Amino acid sequence: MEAESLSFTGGSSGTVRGGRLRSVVVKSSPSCHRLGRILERRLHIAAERRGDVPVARDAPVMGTMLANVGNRMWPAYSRIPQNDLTGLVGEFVSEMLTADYIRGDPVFVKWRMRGTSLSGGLDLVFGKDGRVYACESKHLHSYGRTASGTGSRVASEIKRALLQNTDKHVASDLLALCLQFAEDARRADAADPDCRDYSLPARRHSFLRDVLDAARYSSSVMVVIDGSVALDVQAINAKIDPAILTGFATTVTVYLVCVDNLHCETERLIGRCDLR
Amino acid sequence: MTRSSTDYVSALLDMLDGVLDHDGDSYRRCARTLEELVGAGAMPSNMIFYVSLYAALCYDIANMPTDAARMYRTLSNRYGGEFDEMLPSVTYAGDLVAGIAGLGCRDTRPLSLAISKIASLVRDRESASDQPPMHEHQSDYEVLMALLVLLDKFFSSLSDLSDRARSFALDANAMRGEISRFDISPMLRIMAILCLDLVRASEERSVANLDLPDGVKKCLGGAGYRELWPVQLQAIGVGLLGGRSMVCAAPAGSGKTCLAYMAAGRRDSAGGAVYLVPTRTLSRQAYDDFRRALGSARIPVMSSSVASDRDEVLGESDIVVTTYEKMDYLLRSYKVRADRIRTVIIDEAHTIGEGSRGLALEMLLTRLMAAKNGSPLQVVALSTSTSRIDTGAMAGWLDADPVTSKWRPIDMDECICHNDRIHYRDGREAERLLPLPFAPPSCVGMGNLESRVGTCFQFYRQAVVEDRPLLVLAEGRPEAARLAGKIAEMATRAMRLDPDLLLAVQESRAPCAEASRKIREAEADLPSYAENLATLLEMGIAYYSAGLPAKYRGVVEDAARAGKIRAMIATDVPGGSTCMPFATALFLDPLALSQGTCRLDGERYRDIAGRAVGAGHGRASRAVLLAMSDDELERCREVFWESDMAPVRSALGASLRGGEASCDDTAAEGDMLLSHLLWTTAERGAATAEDLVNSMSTSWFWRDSATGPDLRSTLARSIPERMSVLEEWGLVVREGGNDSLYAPTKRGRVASTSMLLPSSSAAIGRCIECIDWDSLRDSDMCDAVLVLAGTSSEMARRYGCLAADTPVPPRLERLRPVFQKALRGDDARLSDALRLAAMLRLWVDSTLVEDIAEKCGRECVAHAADIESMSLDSAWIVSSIAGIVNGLYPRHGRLANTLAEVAELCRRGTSDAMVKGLLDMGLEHMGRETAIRMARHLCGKSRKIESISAGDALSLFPNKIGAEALAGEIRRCKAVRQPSPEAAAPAPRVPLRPPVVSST
Repeated sequence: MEAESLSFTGGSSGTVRGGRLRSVVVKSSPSCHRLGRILERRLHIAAERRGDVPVARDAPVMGTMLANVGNRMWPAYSRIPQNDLTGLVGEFVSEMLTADYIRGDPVFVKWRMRGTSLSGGLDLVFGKDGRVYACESKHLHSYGRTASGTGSRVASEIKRALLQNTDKHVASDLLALCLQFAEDARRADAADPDCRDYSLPARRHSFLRDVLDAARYSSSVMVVIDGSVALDVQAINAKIDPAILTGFATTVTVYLVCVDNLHCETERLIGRCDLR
Repeated sequence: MTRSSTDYVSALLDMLDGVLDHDGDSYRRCARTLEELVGAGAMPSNMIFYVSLYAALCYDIANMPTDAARMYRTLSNRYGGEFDEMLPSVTYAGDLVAGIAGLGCRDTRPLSLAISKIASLVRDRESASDQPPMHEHQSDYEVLMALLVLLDKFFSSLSDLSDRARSFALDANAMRGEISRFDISPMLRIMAILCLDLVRASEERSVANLDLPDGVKKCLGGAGYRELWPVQLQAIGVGLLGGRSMVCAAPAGSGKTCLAYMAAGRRDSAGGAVYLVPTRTLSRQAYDDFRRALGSARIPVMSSSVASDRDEVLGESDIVVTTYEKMDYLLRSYKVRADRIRTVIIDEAHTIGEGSRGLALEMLLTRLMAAKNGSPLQVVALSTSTSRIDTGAMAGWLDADPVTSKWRPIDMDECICHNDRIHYRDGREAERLLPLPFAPPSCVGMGNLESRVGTCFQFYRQAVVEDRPLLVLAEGRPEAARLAGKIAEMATRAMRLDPDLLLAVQESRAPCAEASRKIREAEADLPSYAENLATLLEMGIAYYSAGLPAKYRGVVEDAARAGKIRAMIATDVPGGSTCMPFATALFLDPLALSQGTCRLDGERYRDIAGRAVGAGHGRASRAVLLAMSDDELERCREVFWESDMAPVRSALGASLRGGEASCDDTAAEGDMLLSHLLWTTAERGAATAEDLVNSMSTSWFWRDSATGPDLRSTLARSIPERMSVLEEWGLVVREGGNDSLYAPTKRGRVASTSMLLPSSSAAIGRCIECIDWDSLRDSDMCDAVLVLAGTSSEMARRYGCLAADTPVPPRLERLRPVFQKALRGDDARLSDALRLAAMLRLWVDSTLVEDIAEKCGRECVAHAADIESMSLDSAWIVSSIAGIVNGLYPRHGRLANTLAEVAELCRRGTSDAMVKGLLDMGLEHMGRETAIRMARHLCGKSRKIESISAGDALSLFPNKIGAEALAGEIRRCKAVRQPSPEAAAPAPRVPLRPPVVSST
């Protein structure tokens, strides 16, 4: 984990919708230079990770199977697409928020595993006080012209995240993670029974199984936005349909993370076309 | 957390345990919960497809093929575009889902097709320069496609039972590791892991892995057995292939027949497998099934039903299919040696408690177990009766393992239809029977069934319109034929008012056209009932009963098995113990069936319905009892749903205790017991009563009653009584002044190896001895032999009712005084014998079956098969009498000659030289009836056989299809017999008629 990170300060927080929804506004005010350096470093790691992620056609069995249907449907990644980049920036900020503000222990950070934000499933899973939080990160890089317009977009993103992250979705996603950890442990053990590395995925698998068994998990949504944008939290909360919240047994926490200079730094990164 | 969320998590945890521990129970629980959640609408809409797919896969992994097929079938309806983003074109997503759904019944064709479409599109794109932009679902696409290609290849190779299946299973294991390194959506990841686990599970239960000869495995694969079902896995688990004996009770269609094939085809049973069935109809059916299933493995299979007069052939076959009684005879007469038998498979083992048939089986098994003397003998007893048969007790007797399963391959709803409402047994809300969209046509003329025909027609309409084939179970053979005709008549009228019915009936014509043509082709001289059947088949309707001759019954069975018949009215499920693909089994008058010869009860009704709908895999099916009043509704509930089944008990015990069965049954059981005692005495040379009691000590009765205090005393009292009867008949004598040492007489020895029962042997022996055969005129000899055959207990029991109203002609009546003394004034027996002889006389005098039936006061549609089988039975009875005469009375050479002639006459069914000549032409379409008509035609024109022409057939028979087939054969036959001078090549061989179907 990089030593360099953002500092967050807690803002207003409130629980609405009969205790089912909690909104927390968090702020961070890094300089352009600092934010840019942090983001670039992480982007570099993501790019490296993406390069390490195996390609299906190179895998012995899958490659053989895919030979029957044509090797690939689309050309290989040659650059990070804009939507992936903005998504990644959101996930970077969310991860930093988790570590520095929420003080949670990361269980699964998607971008570190995959090097991209363009894949389904949970963006971030962290544990805190014996409970697991499954997070969906949303980065709003384009805003409405007015506060109300931006509020609507934020509310819309929250709704979308909530629909994708009901308790049942989270349970499925945690199970998929659990299965993956179990498989990792099995493979590591099969490759070298004396290797201790397999104990990490095995512990994670065991931990997630317990969490599922005891239903100790909750959902969170982290909406990352530029610090200069004015947000009317109450108006945003009011736009969330209570019916959506019936899919959740515990209070869902929505973090509205306002980061100064985020928009211009993201623009700058997008402008640097070749991020191979 | 909400209840549904808790349940979902619990299902996921079960799934996790299933994946990690390969635990079928966990998968089963998971699948059930997921199906319930989807059914209850408790899943978010964007998860329904995946969760349904998980349920299908979990059922499949847990080896619950029917439930899996049901869930797979729902996938197309639940698809919400989950694969759309992963695919190059959403056009193919539906095809792909349909392909996955096809895996439920292991049909890989839709999946192969969908994959090849996508492959073609991708190749086009690869070759085009304007490739689409990079895509965020690349990994999902690659994993999904690699997975589906693997499934396609694996299940295709599993169908061929090729070795490649194992290598694909290894690939699946490797792919599991590969996939964990890819970035794919969690729902797809779970699907992938389940799919790969399915490959593992399917491969583990593949028939290809069994320790069976390759030829047998290939045959099983060809017969559709590729993956073992639960009961088969259970049986293999307890050592079926290692030669372990077992008693297996499982519902119809659960895969017991495959157990029989595996036991018969296993390495150690080579050359010594016996498949025993209770009836000759089943024997014929099982023989066909065995030949179909194991034919290409080159294992010689033979059945007494096709080689009744060639018993030596049976002894040389690797697999002998026969009835309990015939097997008993084959062992007694050393036609099959007991020490050669390695495996005995008993079908319908619960019949061991049923009268003389059960007693025959019990005695047979007792003898086989006593004879095994430490050599390996595997007994595989199969039964559909799961609540009546005590598998533990029976297994204890046979030194076998019990294998019990209640798993059914089909979901069968049990319901009662009353007042147009269908009441379900599981308490579901009653639903209305689909009403007719017009006033129901008249049902007048159906007697007792009149009130039920209307409802039956409603079921018929629903069956035709919704393509859900219907089997109606009716009491009475003529009633079944009449009801089928009535339904067809009502349908013809209704079609004018009901366009849906019209369209559906028109659609059902084509599939049945071939069956109709086969019926017409079977004989040029088509009896009126067969013509009716052919006409009904054109509408997709058929009737079926044991009264139909085998040649027509076979056509109907094949059409029903192929799912071509929309509605069948039957007295039993066609196809013996194999399952049929009907969707509904309707019991038209269940209470009448429970009191009639069928003795329908809760167990039997479920068995019949299970067989009727058992082959309609994955399709919802139901068994419906029709009740016409509130009282009947309650009685149906009571009799078929709520009553406890009486356990199967030893028939020997019942016979010894006496009094439970009817007089006829008791007499038959008594005869079987006497037969056993006589054989045991003859085999040992002499036996004391104590020896005979001890010979029963390996019987089920002994085991069944072992705790009873008076077992030995019951036997000790009963056996001397029975031996006195044999002594009175002159079959045994007491030896050397020792009152309890019995020895067989010469007559007793001959009787013990005869197919005839001791009572028959005794009566016939007396007749042979008492009658002055030399004084009989030549013209009376044949009649006297027919009467002699009629005196046998076998003929009287089997055909006494059939011949009850047959007038006895004066030429036979003249013989009454001749036989009176021999039968010691038993007038009833003599009258029966004369009536039976009168019927046989009609048969050998070349009377048409329809005319025989009319003269005997019977309906041809109900008894044609009985008349044919009576004549064939009489042939073996006369042959057996000839055996007695040759063995005991060598001075009666004239009688022996007449017996041989009469046996042949009975077999051929004619004494007319021209009819014989026509039959000897060996034409496939020249059956007995056709030959008789043709002979009359030729005689009427004073022509000889040589002058027969194709034109004769065409002008004589109104059945154009049959006439043309016969005419073609006559043309070919004449061309062969009169080859043109220029024809240099040898003439093709004229096809010979298949061997006469006959049996004991």
